[in-house]
Amino acid sequence: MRDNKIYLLLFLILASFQVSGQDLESMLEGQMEKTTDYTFATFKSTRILNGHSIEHLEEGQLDFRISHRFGRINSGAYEFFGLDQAHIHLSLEYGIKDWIMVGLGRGTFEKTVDGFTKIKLLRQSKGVKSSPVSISIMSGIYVNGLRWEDRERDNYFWQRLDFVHQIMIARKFSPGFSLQLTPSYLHRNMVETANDPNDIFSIGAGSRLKLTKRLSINAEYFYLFKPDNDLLSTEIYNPFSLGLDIETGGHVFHIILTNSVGMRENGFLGHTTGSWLNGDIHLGFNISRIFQLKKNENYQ
Amino acid sequence: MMKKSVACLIMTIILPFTIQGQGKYLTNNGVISFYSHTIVEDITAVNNEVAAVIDGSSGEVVIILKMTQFQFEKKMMQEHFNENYLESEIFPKATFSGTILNNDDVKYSIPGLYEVKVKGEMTIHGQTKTISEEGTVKITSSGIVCSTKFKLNPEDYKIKIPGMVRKNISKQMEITVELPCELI
Repeated sequence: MRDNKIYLLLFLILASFQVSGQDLESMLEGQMEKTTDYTFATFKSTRILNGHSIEHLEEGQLDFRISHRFGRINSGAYEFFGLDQAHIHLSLEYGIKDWIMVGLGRGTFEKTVDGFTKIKLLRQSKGVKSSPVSISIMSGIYVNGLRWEDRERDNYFWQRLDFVHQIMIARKFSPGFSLQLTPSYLHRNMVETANDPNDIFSIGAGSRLKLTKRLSINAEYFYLFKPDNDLLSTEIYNPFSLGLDIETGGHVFHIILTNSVGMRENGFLGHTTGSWLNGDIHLGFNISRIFQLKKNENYQ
Repeated sequence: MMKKSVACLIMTIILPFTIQGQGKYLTNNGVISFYSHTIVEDITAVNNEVAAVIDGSSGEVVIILKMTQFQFEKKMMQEHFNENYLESEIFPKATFSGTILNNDDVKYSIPGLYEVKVKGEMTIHGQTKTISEEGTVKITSSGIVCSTKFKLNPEDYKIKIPGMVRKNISKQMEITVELPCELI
């Protein structure tokens, strides 16, 4: 009989290993930790306001962008506070792969044709692969399309070219707040006078603060490392833009106040002649409409 | 006396294995999809990475999925789903935890198709509701497949749909669940 009791005890011990239930959920939780969660929607659009954001078009997305800047608000009633003048920029941009996108555009400012490539290097993520920030690089080329001022001079095509290289480092700190730093380098093959720098380095900071699910306040500032304005042929200022970002399904709208008329990098980094302190502020809009040309590969 | 002891010993060794026969079934690639039909637009999304575990002995069922793993045909829709509707950064997972009410009817050792009733708590978007649905458990030689189809109203889980897109998104989402689980 004593033996039986021992066996019964043994049986109970062994059987207890089979006890089910309470830890089913923790069992699955363990399985779920073996994945990587990438941050999404650090910004709502591929632009913060004027400059590039960390966001990319996904593979197969075509973005048609229309941007407008009116004249200066302080130009008075005769100019209808700037609304009589309009500068426009149109562009078509495409996501070749999730990690590389290209764009081609044409702007009123210096009748410029521009092209760029943006490449993802790192994505902010949690889990197996973890990174505190996202990093992308952007390189653009800008072709001034104005007629030559001095036709007597030897004029070459290369003189029309500007180049910009940027690194975007961004972090979504919370669902409602994202911040981006954008070290930038502008090179101009030809400038107006020998006093104007061919190269301008700058550091940009941009942020997004969500007000509601579909509305956010975006701000963007670039600090330019450049000679004093007294030394330049034209005074240039640090571009600062403040705007509302409104998302309505397939469209993203920006309503912007900015001291820059240039809507592309060579424009706002090299030719921001307005100053916020003097009231040289332009009202503007960006409209982005995205078309999906290719289906999501992961969807069957 | 001796015989009894031997019998007891055999039971001790064998019984746990027979319980194992009704043990736990697990999957990491269950499929849950939803389908929203309106006159304006049909929307579907699929999640192929659903984790689920079914305890054959008690009939307990736990299902967990990550909202961001739902794949949409249009990636922009996917971003809107996570950012504007499900708020996946705040509520990254959806879970179901319940029991098969008629678990005794399911013979886990005998292949076949069994009708089951499942009741439990479903949590989506941070909101928990008790639901009761019917489904099937298919027993095969290699494991079991649990399937069900049911309707769900996003507004029950406080998923706000703005008036602008109200006509594009159905109040009756059709949810399809298929969980091919293996014995562990």
